[in-house]
Amino acid sequence: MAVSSSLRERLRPLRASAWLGFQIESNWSDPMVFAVYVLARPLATSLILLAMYKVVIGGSVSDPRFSSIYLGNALYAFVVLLLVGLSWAVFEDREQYKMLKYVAATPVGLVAYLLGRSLTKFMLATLSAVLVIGFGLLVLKLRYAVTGLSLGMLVAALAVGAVGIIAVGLVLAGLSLVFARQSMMMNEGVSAVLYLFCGVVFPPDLLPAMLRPVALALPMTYWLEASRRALGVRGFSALLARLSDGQLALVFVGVVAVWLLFGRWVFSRLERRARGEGLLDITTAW
Amino acid sequence: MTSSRFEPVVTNLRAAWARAYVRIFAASREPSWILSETLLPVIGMCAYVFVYRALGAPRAYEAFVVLGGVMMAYWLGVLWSMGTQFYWEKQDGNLEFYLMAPCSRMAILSGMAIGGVVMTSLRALSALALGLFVFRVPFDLTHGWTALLVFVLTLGSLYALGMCLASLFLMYGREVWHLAHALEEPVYLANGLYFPIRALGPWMAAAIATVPLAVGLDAMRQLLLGGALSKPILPVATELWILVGSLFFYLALAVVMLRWTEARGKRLGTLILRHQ
Repeated sequence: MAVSSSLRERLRPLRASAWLGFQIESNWSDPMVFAVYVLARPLATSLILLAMYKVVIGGSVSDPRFSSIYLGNALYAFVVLLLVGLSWAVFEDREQYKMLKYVAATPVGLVAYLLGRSLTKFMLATLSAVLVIGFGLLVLKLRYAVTGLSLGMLVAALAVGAVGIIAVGLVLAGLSLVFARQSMMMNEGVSAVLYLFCGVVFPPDLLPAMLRPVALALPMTYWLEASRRALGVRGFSALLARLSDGQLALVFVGVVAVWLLFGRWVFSRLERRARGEGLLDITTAW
Repeated sequence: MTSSRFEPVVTNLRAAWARAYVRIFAASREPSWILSETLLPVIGMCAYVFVYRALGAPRAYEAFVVLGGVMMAYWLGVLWSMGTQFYWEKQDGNLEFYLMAPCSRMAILSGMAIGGVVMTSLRALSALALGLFVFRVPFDLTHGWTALLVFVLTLGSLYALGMCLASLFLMYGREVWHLAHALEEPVYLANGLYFPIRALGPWMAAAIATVPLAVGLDAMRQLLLGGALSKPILPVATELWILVGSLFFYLALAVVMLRWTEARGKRLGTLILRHQ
């Protein structure tokens, strides 16, 4: 009883900040318009890749390479929204709504608050990924193994992957605490860099040898590979194909755990620095 | 007498320079900007080069990505440093000062555009350098000067469109952020930033009719890559005239929209209302 009450107490800030995040994200618009905004970007990126593929290969999209590219791109919505959302919340609350200092003054803590805010982004990313994959299945007639087991594995991979994305996002959010407002473009930049390194639309094998360790150090690389395998798309990356399913799961969980510790540590250091230098209520506009 | 005749012009020029100055020189005082604005987005562009490599496309296709990456930098500048800027100024409380100042709003927007071009050019040059020196994309510089003219006209048209967006975005509340985001990838798609615009089929007409990016890119590709690879949609001369036309059209539209938006905002009492 006491444990459940304590858990409820701990979850309260998360629930409150998630609700706040949902209100901020959605209360300016009716649901249909909102859905268009949520869908426009990932669908457009998918269609850009389709156009590039058609220009080079032409003909049908039954090539498994395209299925892999399409799936990676659809799932990347989680990185764009979840990871970038953490950092974006810092800029929004510090400079636009000017509320970060008040949040920092409460016993909730910035990490719990930002995690709560990211829950809304997680829901939006889920909606976006489901609709884009659905578009691929129904309109482009892409072939994925959609069974109860495969969906279960996909969800399990997503659960671990989301923790990994949040861990990387904490590093970015920490940097946002000490950077000026113009660095909100950093969010876009980091999401573009991760697009390059995580094997989203091309296998990490193609990266120059000196950059491959970067790809292999990121949790998203393993998450995308695990998701592809869950839906029956194998062999996208020869480098990752060397790992059996069990080995992949182990490495994936290990990398996520390391990032989680690192992300928490970096955020704490940078939060302390932001407090020390009085940056929590700074506004920077050019 | 003479000084009073030229005084408004001088005031507007000084206002434009003052607004540009902040952007040009503030950038040098915040080194983190170099990382976030230049290096990271340029690295992101590489992903599309690797997509072409993964698909086994001829190397020349990588030039599409590099040119697209250069122009994408300016489109992002138009969206975020022009379009949303008045909205941001409203949130920060600076808009009132612009409205009180004895200069034209167009002078302020022009200053923002000049400062924005300078800031964005660093990113665009980085993208170009990456393409030329790392990916070694094959550009043919025989028609380099014409390509430069097309580039300048495209920039002029884009930033004039940015002035229109600034007025439009001023009308909206928080929706503006989502609108600006929604104008990123969909615009890259509609303007064929990374592939020949012909791949869009009948939809390409919509792109040509709206954002000057597609027309400018198509002309630059013809001039720098040759007609065979770029699969042009129109002759370069026609595209030059379209760009000149769109430059004047968007400038005139910006003046009209700015007046209308300001008058409407004053009437409804929303011009300087924050967090709507």
